[in-house]
Amino acid sequence: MKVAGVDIGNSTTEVALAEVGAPGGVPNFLASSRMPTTGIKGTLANVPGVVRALETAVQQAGLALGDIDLVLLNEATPVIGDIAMETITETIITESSMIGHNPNSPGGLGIGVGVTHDISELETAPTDEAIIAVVPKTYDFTRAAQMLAAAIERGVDVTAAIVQGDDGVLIANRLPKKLPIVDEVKLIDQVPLGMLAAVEVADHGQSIQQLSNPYGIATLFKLTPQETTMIIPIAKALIGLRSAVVIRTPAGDVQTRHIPAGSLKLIGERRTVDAPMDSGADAIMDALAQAFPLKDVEGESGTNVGGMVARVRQTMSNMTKKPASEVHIRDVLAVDCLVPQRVSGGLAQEFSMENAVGLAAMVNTDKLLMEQLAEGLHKELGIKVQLGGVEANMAILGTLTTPGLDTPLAILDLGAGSTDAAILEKDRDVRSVHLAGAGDMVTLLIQRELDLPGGNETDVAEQIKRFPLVRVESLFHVRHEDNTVRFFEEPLDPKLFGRVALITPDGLSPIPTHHTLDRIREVRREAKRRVFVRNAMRALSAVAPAGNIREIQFVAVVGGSGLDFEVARMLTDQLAHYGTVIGTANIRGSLGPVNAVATGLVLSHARHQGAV
Amino acid sequence: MAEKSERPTINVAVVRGAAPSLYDWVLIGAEEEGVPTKLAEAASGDVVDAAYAAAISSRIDIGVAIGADAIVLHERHMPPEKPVLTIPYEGKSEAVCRRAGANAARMVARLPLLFEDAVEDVDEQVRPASERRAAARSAASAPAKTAAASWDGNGGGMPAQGQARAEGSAARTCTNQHAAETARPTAGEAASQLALSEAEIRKIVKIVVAIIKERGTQWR
Repeated sequence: MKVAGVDIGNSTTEVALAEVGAPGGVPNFLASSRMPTTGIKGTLANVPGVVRALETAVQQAGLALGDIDLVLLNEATPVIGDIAMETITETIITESSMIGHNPNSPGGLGIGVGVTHDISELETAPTDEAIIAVVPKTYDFTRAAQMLAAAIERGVDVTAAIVQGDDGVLIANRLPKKLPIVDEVKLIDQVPLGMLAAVEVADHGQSIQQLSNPYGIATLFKLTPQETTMIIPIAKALIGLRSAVVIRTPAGDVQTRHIPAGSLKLIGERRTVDAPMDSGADAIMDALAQAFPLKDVEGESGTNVGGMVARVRQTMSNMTKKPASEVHIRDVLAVDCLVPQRVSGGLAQEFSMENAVGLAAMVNTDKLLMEQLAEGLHKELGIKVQLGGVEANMAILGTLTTPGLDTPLAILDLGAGSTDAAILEKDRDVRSVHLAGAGDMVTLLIQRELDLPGGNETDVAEQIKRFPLVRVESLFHVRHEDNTVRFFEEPLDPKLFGRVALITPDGLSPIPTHHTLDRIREVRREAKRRVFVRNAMRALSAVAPAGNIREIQFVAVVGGSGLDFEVARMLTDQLAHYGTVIGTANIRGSLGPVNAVATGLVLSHARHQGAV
Repeated sequence: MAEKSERPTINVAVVRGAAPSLYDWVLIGAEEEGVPTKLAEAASGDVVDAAYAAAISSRIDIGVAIGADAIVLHERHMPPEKPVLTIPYEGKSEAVCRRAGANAARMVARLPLLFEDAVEDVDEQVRPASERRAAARSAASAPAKTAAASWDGNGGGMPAQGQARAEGSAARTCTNQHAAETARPTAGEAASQLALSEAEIRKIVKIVVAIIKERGTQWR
């Protein structure tokens, strides 16, 4: 008879199709398939995805859907996860008082302090005070340069200029003396006139010194110590830029506002621990370890984290049709990150790096849901549908089809929504654990830290997670992440020139950001380290004998994220300290790390049948 | 071949039949990016051949040729008949030439090239309300009174579209005005009369093109 094992995961649905012969015999695998999961794992919305995956598999085997005698579902995939991220600080400028940005090409060099004047007022400007000219786009560079030069010749002490258009270098080149000029200031009509301001432009390849230093600003504006503490956020936001303007307005006030981030209440089976969000991810994870095993999590109401936890609960409650009060969060993974946020009140669309905490949460579903799903699938297909064994056992059974593997064995299942671990020792039951946070969390971190388009367009972040980077250095060659160079016979698309691109199966694909290759690589690797490596360690110590990872000798990596091109290497580096060997599984000797559970379901069925 | 003693420059050829004044715009584009240019003899009447010859004669391997209705950017290592970019003027010869100059310089600096239709800057997709107001204002201050009217008329219902329309008509007015003013020696003055700079025109046109592509609407 023909049996199909179906494993519904957070992001993919996998099928293993086999001919199961005589009771106790070895199943003959015919085909496998892997399709995107439709809807949220464990709901009726999964049915179309399962059907599509089954169709693909039967096509491969040259059969029809009707030829399948039995469909096996993994028993209550026990967990579903959700992710969220909130910033815990925010920079607000109540009066416009700074412009700090990296226009492609600021003009001139140095630092200039003076009172802001519109360029049209230069003709009548007094000669006894330092002046910074404000040049709207209505003045093209020749005219602006002429007016500035005329004023300088008349004896007006012009010390710098703020320009709206992309003309900084052009104006600077046409002046009798070298002035720092900041250009591409989009909201120039909001630059207050008649105010004391400072403009700084650094030399090529350098960043500003004076305006990114709070005491530098204090020196220029003769600030009191109290006022100096007020401008620290400005200095902080200007670090690393090539040009900047700081304007002193009487009511000017920039502040880093701490959004009440609230605290997480981790309710364990034995004790309850409060973890304030603004003390960072490490503190939360420490508190979590103290509260382990976790019964539920609550967020402080009226705060960001309260909203976050409530959202997770609401999503789960909508899905499972259980009241929100009965949805219990069984694990969380908190990750610190720095996300660029637009400064509210900035004049040139400045960004400031703000602290944020990303949170992955996991909720237990009940068996009832899977039974509903099995029922729905049966109705749809007209084929008998059975719930197979426990997911962890199935995964181990499937993983054991990897050549060279034997018990005792630990597996690490890196999926999209959860990181699971299971361990099988001689004469003992399989022990397993499910933790929140995996591939989807990595994608979210990459998307937020690099400020990529969000929402349904996490595509770019997803691709960055999956594919290695290159920098296109000329029309004929690219440089890889490891600094090796590859040449092409045919010239590349000029749209790729000078860009950072991804090596995808469809060729090079440019990344629509201005980040450097090194920055993207660092963010990508750091995200994987903070989610996969951290969760792998958490999961393994949870299942290891006596909580000691050293007791585990072999670990096999399975799951979709096991296909990642660098995670296995990172885990190897980390686990080397414990003397543990880690390798990527190769299910049935050919499928790589995927299809473990689906294969295990079929094997278990064949074995079980033999026992009957 | 280039002389060893020669200063490295982007070599620019003006092909017969092209407006010689366009060279200034290529030069301005390259200057803002900080790369020197040199006017080279047009080696051929064909704009692609001339661009290739200019690239061969350049010590930094980049050549530009200004044609009668398109500008060509070439690089020494490319096949002679396959230039890096060929951009037709389509009535905006000065903006196109300035951008070509900037792109030639960006090739030297190994920076990503600028493309008119590439709406990829985040800050262009998400423009703050105040900037939109500024755009609407500048549209209103331009002779295009209709632009302001359509913005106002649409203000409540569909602000995004209203803005697009305002910008659309602003852009249209400037191109028309621009064409009329090309006889003037410094076209920058034409732009300044309209309260719009080359960069802003470029940006508005970019947005309008993106909208047209998206909706398939014909702006008249």
